[in-house]
Amino acid sequence: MRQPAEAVSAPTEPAPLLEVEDLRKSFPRGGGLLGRRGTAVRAVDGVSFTIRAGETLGIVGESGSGKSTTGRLLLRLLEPDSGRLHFDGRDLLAESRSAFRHRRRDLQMIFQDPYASLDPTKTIGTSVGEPLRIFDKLARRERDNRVRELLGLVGLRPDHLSRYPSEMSGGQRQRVAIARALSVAPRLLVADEAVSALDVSTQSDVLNLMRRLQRELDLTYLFISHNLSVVRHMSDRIAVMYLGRIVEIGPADQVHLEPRHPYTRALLSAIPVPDPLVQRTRPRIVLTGDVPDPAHPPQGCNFVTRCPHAAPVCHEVDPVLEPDGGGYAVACHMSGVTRERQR
Amino acid sequence: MTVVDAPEPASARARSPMQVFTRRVLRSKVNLACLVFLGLVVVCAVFAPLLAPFDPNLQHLDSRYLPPFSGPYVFGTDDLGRDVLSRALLASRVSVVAPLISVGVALTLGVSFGLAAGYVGGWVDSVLSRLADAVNAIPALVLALAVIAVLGPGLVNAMLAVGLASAPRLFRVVRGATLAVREETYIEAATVVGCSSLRTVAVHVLPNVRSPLLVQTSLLMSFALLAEASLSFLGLGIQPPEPSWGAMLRTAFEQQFLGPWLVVVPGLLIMCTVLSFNLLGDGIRDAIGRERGTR
Amino acid sequence: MSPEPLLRIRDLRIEFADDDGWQRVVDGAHLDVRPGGARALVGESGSGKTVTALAVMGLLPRRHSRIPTGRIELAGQNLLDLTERQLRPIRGTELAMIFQEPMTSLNPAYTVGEQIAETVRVHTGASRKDAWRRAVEVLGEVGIPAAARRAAEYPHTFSGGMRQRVMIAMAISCRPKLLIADEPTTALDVTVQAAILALLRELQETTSMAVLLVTHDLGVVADFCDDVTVMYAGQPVEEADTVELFASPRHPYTSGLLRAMPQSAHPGLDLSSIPGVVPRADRMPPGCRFHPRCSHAQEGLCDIVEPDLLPLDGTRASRCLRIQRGELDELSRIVDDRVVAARADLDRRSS
Repeated sequence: MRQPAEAVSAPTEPAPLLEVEDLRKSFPRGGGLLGRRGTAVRAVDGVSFTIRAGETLGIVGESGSGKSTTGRLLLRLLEPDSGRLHFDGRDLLAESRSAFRHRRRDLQMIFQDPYASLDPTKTIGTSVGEPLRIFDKLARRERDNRVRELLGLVGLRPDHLSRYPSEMSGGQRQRVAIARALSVAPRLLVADEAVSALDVSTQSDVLNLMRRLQRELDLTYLFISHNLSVVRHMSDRIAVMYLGRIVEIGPADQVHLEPRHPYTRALLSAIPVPDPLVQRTRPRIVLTGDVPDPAHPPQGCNFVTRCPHAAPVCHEVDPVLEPDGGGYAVACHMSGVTRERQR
Repeated sequence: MTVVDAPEPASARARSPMQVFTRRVLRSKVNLACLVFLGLVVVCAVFAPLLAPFDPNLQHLDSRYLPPFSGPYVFGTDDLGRDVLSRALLASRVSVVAPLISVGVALTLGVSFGLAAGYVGGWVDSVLSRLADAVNAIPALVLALAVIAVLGPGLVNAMLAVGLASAPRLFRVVRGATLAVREETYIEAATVVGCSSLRTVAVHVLPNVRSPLLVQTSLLMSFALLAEASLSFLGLGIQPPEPSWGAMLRTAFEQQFLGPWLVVVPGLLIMCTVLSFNLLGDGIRDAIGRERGTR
Repeated sequence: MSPEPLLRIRDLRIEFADDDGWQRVVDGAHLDVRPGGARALVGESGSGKTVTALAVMGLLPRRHSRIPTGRIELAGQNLLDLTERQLRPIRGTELAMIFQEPMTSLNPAYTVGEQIAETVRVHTGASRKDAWRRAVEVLGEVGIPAAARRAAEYPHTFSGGMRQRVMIAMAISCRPKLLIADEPTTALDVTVQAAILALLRELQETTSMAVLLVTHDLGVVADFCDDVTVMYAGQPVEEADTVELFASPRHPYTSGLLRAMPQSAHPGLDLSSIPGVVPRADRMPPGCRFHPRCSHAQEGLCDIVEPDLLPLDGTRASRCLRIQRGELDELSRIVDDRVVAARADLDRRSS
């Protein structure tokens, strides 16, 4: 499932900051009894996209869609099986894993669970200051001063420096994680479900903070989440993933308001609208069945087992992500047909 | 800059997880009693020459087999007329140092190999684990006896052997804990902020496996102390006239008809020290359990 | 409230022991569930909603918790007066519960059918054969295809959504009058969540079972529940009919929650948020517990006077002093563009 790189970036833009081409990663599924070799799960199965400097690309998908694996592959927390990764014109995969360590100045990540992403035995100052110690070899005093600045930047008090993670709330911890990621002045920030573990009221604070930092520090985001509402709020463009592939990618409003892939439409329809009168009267698409086992994807289109529009061709031919030339692409045989029907 | 969490009540006491843990351990009176007793033993060991009323090796051949509370000899005298109290005090040095040798060896081997096996995984883990299994198949005392048979009697050699034989126990604990910690997100986060593997293991993994390690170390101390006592009792550990509790017990055993009370002091000391280490190990384990439970 | 409630909680206090003594995590819970009704218990983490639900089931850890005051009445009988032995037959036959994590709620060592049949046998004394038949029957009822075959399979062969269906099957196997669902869809994908909520609604209609849904998600509330109780810092702060609550929240916290949802903001604009954090149980502020985070708080009133949950008009109740005094009328509500468009559409059709 190869796709030309220019297909998914807007046509008039300069060279993108990050280019991902045909990225693939399989995990061996644990062998059964008697050490039989298990089948491989194709977690990321030919994913291509680009991110321009300063924009936010949102990746939305459910469990098993490969969205988190994609994020980890970009930072080489996992090694891709194949594919190309170009950051600012440089080939990220050409470097050895240890040489890549220094590239981590440019690429940082925020994790889902702020309760687990900070070492419980270290103070906030030590955690946030660690990258400064490693990359900039700053002495203790300079480090602490810089950490205080960073804490201020993310809306925490300087005296939080001497706290331990266990004494802070989830939202505060996520701010600490953001401060740590920003300490090395990265250019691309991968946020993997960065607000999913937070309460609604705290979640909006962290989202606002991330948007403010993006403006002030000229950051580029890859914002990964299962929550389409959050992704839509944060992103310029959205990629929808299903079973290891991008099924639809395009400008956020377009994906959100006029989705062309039946999966995106079902996803949107499944998000409850926070108004009882509307929620109970609006037409809904309820998908039958769960996401298929990624180790045994169906033949033809990955979505065919749950698709309300499946035609015979969908059972046989795997659809490719077809760009429409306007920065929009969808992988569905029936997208033209269903669009007509929708009107 | 807006500070968003203004209404949060200021908490002045920043408590590190280690402080919280220590507080939990000390809350139990049993743990406290064990720590106090072990502290006393250490004080006795350090200040033995100052505390001892007599030269522990000085023989008073005119006052042999004196029962306790005979004049200046509070705990009586042994077969050579040496003051039991003074000997018991000096013996506590051996009883503290000898287990430390074993535990030191076991910690060095167990922790380094355990971290390596748990963190690196793969064939490193397989090889180290099989090696640990092999060593574990040899009983500690048998290995100590073998070492003594080759190198001749001597406390240091014997305790090194006990340490080597006990290392697999620590290895397993550290490896298991490391496997769990390795999956934590903060290890992944450490990689992202540029930590090398060595730094990740030393700075982020090791401090997070120390609680289970502490439990095993405490239990190992009691085991090593018993091993020293056993070897010295058999005459293979400390060599006369240097005293150790095990060696004193040997004397008491030989003289059981002439001085039956001789068994009491070293026997009680060994029992209480071993019990303290064991109870403390259990207490620490309970404290860890509560730590997990209330999170 | 016209019919006698099935579940009635009054002035319930729950305390938990920690290193510093007893902490009151629920302080004056107040809740009614009508027979066959669906009540939402909404709150963020630390609001005490799950603890309240566990107390109804009698599932609080005995050694670390206590209930100093309060009543939990099920059909007029105070459950807190019962011993564990007396409570056991009520659990399962009258009360049942499903949890957030369907992965860990099933025993991996037994087949799904065995686990459901066991529940049936314990509560009804049915024979093994009848119990198995009933297990297959309820698995079919919760929408598991080829139920007879799947009943003989082990939990690990089921996906997350299917496991939650199994949990629901187990819960309804003895036809309980009240199902307590504690964040039943939080761990599930949103497309699966929609299917599970549809299933619960269908079961509710066919069996006239009442549901107490504990959740943090106002979208789920809008979808599923008739009545809502909003909890904050261990206390109920607002009680209302779902439609009325979303139309005009009568507590600043409720309004804050509604406005903080990402659907409420225009893309590109900042989201609204509630500043600060939920206070800890041992450091509750004086006066109204929400006042340090409330943009409507009035000095000299909200930081001094401790409010009660008072009825406003008929079916609604609020713990806000300023609402009770009639000083706050219009609390802003949600402004989702989809909601606005769909509302306009509804109005057009009805007129």
